[in-house]
Amino acid sequence: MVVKVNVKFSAMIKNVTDADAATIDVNGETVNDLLAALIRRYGAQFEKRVIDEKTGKLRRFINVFVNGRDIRNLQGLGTKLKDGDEVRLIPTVAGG
Amino acid sequence: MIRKDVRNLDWRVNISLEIFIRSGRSKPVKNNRVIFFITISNENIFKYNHRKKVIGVGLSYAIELKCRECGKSYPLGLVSTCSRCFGPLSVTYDYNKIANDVSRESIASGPSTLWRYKELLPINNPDLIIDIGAGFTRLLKAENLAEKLGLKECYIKNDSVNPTFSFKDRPASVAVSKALEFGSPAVGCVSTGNLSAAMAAHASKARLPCFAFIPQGLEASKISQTLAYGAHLITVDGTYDDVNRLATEIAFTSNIAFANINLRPYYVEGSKTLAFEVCEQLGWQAPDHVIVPTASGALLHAIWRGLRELEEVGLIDDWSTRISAAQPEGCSPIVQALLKGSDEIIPVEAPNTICKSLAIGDPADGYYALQAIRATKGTGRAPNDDEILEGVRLLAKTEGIYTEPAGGVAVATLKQLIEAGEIDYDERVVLLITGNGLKAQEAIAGGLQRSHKISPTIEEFRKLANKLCTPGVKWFKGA
Repeated sequence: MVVKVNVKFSAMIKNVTDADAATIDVNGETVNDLLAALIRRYGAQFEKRVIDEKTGKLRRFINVFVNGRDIRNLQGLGTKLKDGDEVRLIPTVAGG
Repeated sequence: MIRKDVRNLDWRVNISLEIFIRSGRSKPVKNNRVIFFITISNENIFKYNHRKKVIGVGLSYAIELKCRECGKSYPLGLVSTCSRCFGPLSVTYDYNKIANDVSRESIASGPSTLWRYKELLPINNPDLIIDIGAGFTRLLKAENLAEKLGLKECYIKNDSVNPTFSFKDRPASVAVSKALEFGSPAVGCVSTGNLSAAMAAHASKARLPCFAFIPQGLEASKISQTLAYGAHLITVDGTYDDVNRLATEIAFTSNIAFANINLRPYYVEGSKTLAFEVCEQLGWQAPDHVIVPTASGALLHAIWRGLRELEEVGLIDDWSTRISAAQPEGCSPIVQALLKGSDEIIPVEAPNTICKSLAIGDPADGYYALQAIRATKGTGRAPNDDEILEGVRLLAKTEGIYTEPAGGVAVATLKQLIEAGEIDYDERVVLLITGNGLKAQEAIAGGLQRSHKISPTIEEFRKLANKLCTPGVKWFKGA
């Protein structure tokens, strides 16, 4: 199954992706599959920045939003995607 | 221009030095241990700051920034996030030097503000400190409240009487001073209302424009207060977390120094002075327990850091203070994770509480706050809105201190912890009262008794007095 989603990158990730946004074909249907697709597209540098090498999981300070909702309020990395979804990757250590 | 290694300089030498990283003629300096100095007068500093990008380096006891997650080091620049792992950066200090140079006596001879601890704050140029009187607020012994709740000893750290009436004056004072050092042309913040006022006030003193971003639905007095200081107030149609994400993007694509975004490593340092003061005011002893109104977790974590730093520099001996979180039920992601025994903070998508100043659904320092609570054997509670208002009233009626709902959360949490047997009778407890009741009238007024309306005659008053009589107390002749 392939879904086509629109991904928007925050200013802090842009230096790796060289773009504010991209349309990504995902082989699969979850956020986890999208991350794999992004790593394939943007390479080791991107992987190093977003995946914690110790745990193999998304780094604690990378927040992923699907259509404006934090995946921690959905099904986490297992959150399902569909064609046309907007996904944002935002590192956030701010506020308070 | 003179090229010199700043590590050999003592920052207390009274000279006006500033450091370029980018000017029209020089290239950015990557290694900021090698820097360019120019001497300028204080009078010209403001003009100068608006023209040049400046980086502050190593003239204070601060050494560098370090990532809390991976440990990567950074020079003391306008950066808040680790480029390797996106972890938050914290200021590190030369604690040995501080221990040698700072004593209880030297602190006592300092100003009656948070700047009495300047050696433990990340400021290079004392001439650029913006001090409008934040900090060194009273630590009041709350005998009435203690008696009411069944405690032997309870203290109120009354930060509701800071210059803009909340504890946020502490981090704002550090943030704006630091923005001047960096030569930032403007400052900004994301706020639930208290920080916006604190930043706006300090920015006006520093003659810097201030951009305050707030979510919709804040209390009217916080909005008018911020506007009165001349800030550009931007109300964003969304929650605090929506505002936070927007401002983060703005911070990384503008020259605005945001207190709680790109200035955050310095900004949070201001809050730890609450811990310093509590210990100093208790005769350089740490309390047994501190109850902290908690939103992002930054204050709670700063209290822990402050206590550890005091021990590190020898200002207090062994301490075993328990640090506990107080969050409103309608927005309590840290307390929920704590009570579940989880490390994972699940953001609150739509905070729903009268306690606007603690309505942060996705707490940036949530993980670190949990760490602090667990390491100190603290705990936490999340009282509901009615209990919070009851807490506000209880503090007002017993101690004469009128706090905003955030203070009510602390009082209600203390009450619940005592009732649950999680605080012993003889624990010496300090409640941090972080904001003033006058800033949240809308929330508080509803639960209060109404005023008595009478016509201007003594007969009318006598009638009323008969209704208000207190058994056994004759307080009005003829009533």
